Amino acid sequence: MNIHNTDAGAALKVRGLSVAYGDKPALSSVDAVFQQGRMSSIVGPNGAGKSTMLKAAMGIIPAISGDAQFFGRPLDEARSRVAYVPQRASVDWDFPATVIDVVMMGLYRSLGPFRLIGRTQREFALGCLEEVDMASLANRQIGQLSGGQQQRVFIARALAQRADLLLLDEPFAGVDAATEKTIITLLKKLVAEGGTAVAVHHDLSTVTAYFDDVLILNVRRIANGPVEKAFTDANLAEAYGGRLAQAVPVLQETV
Amino acid sequence: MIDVSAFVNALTFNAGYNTAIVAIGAVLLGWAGGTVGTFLLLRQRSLVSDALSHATLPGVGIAFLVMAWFGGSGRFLPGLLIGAAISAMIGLASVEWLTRRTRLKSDAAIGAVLSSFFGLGVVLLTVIQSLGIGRQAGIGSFLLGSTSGMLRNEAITLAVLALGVALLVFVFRRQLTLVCFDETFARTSGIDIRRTDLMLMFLVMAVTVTGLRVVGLILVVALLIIPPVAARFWTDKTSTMVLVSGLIGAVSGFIGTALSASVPNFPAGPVIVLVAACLFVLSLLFAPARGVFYGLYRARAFSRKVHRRQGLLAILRGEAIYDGDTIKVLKAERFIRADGTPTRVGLEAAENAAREEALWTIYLRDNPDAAYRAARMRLDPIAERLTTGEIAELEKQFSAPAGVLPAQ
Repeated sequence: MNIHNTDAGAALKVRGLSVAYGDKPALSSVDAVFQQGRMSSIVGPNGAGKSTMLKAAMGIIPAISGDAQFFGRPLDEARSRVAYVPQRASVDWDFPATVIDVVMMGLYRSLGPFRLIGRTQREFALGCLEEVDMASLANRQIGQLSGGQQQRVFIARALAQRADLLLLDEPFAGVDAATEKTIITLLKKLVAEGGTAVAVHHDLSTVTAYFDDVLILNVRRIANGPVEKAFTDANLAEAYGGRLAQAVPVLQETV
Repeated sequence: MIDVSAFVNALTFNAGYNTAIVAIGAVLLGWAGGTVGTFLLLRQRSLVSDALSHATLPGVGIAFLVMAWFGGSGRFLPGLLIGAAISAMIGLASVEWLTRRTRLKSDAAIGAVLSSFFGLGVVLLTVIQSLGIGRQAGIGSFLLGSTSGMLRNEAITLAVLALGVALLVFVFRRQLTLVCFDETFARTSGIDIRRTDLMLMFLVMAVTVTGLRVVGLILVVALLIIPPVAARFWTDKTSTMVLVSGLIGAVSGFIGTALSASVPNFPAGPVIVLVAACLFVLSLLFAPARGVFYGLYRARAFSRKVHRRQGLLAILRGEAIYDGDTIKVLKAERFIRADGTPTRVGLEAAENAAREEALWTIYLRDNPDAAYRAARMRLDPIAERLTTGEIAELEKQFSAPAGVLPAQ
């Protein structure tokens, strides 16, 4: 069965999505499909609406028109299968919480208001931290972490949700090289096990190495499909215009 | 002056029935205020409670007039509280509407609503006092609270409200924590942010309305703000903060009522708030997590660590040490003998320090943007600051043939 040609294989399908901030359009009738079992990226210049698309699909910001289907269903029917990792800068890291507290937040939905957190939940959360090499800092206050460590805590929280689809908003923004490697290795492992990941990404030089599929966006959809077909110079030039030349640095790292 | 035996009696519930009733009411109120206030503070909405409390006054006045109109006693407490709640809701809705529909920032909207409602309330109270209907004496006590002559029924009303608040906070604690910490994530896990905020505001209103009778509307906001701010100094966990904050509120209520019962002409409400303020100052100065004195201690400890590290590196390089503080630190840890020669322990520590320095140097080469944080962290044992995987990676690079030697 070739899942690439059937809608049933789509983890996330966006149809005619239009979003505006006030009277400033951010997305204009975007169609996109993110297949199950694939690593997908959303790329485009600043202000292209990359994060906006994920947020609108997740119902965080209202869409003017269009809809998003998760595994062929509306979000409310598939919510437990989807985990969202917000941008690290979107929260106040001085909040009174430890690393493991944040990971536990991924369990709140399944725990509901009454079930208490016991040893099982704690060990499960520690296991999620282990996946991102953060278990040894489980009891740290989150404000004391480095940017990369904070990002890995967010990823661990998403893991705790045991979702089939991970939506990540700029997971590699401002993180160190080791964190980037940890995260990408983990995501590839999840995808190899049948999971799906969709990440907003800004580093064009790593798209081919990291991702299977790509959505090139600049308010409207430029291209969407497997990296080898969609990630072409022509499409990139259409999205980035004359700035493409600077987008892929050719400097050699020699020290 | 303070009557010590009366104070002790009040603390041990031996100062008479009325004082005991007031104390129980104040304890429950302080606890509820501290608990709800924690989430209000974490949601960064503390000031909204000020608008809300001032907006209760017109409701009190109108409720009084309505009840007096129908021939009842205008001072029927539940009736007045319902009136207060309704007008607080209108005030709150006005703040919401102003911030959402106009370009006013929330502080301006809060200020405008607070003063308008309060002005209207004062006018109504003045009119009521000049009318001479419905036994209006004491209606002014809603401004600053009054515990004298509090009835058993009123204490029970307070207790029921406080317990209701505690129950709701328990049921909604996870939802409230999520919305306070990470609104985006909360929304994606299916939480209705607006409804959660409404719930929080409802809790704030319940505390405010309950507190009107005891501390008055001008000061009730203190019970929502001071305990959580004080509690924040003691802990880095939300769940602990809720408990500590509730405890600080309850203790303030307890000591405050006892003081007011034992010192003539000490009004309970303001004294409760002052006790809370004292606890705040104590927390600010002495709390271990973020207190001022602990901060000074940490600054000293940091300078010790700098001397320790410098001294150890000097030992390894075989350099003479002249800095008096460095020598003192090294001697205290028995790294050097009285004559300045290194001990065996000192040499081992020096080698370890050099290894960690080298690892940190590699870490900084890979993460130049972490320089500021690393300057502080690199003096701690590396295992406390980096994860096992991160350290393993650094060691791999360190031992690699092409590894860069640390700059000395």
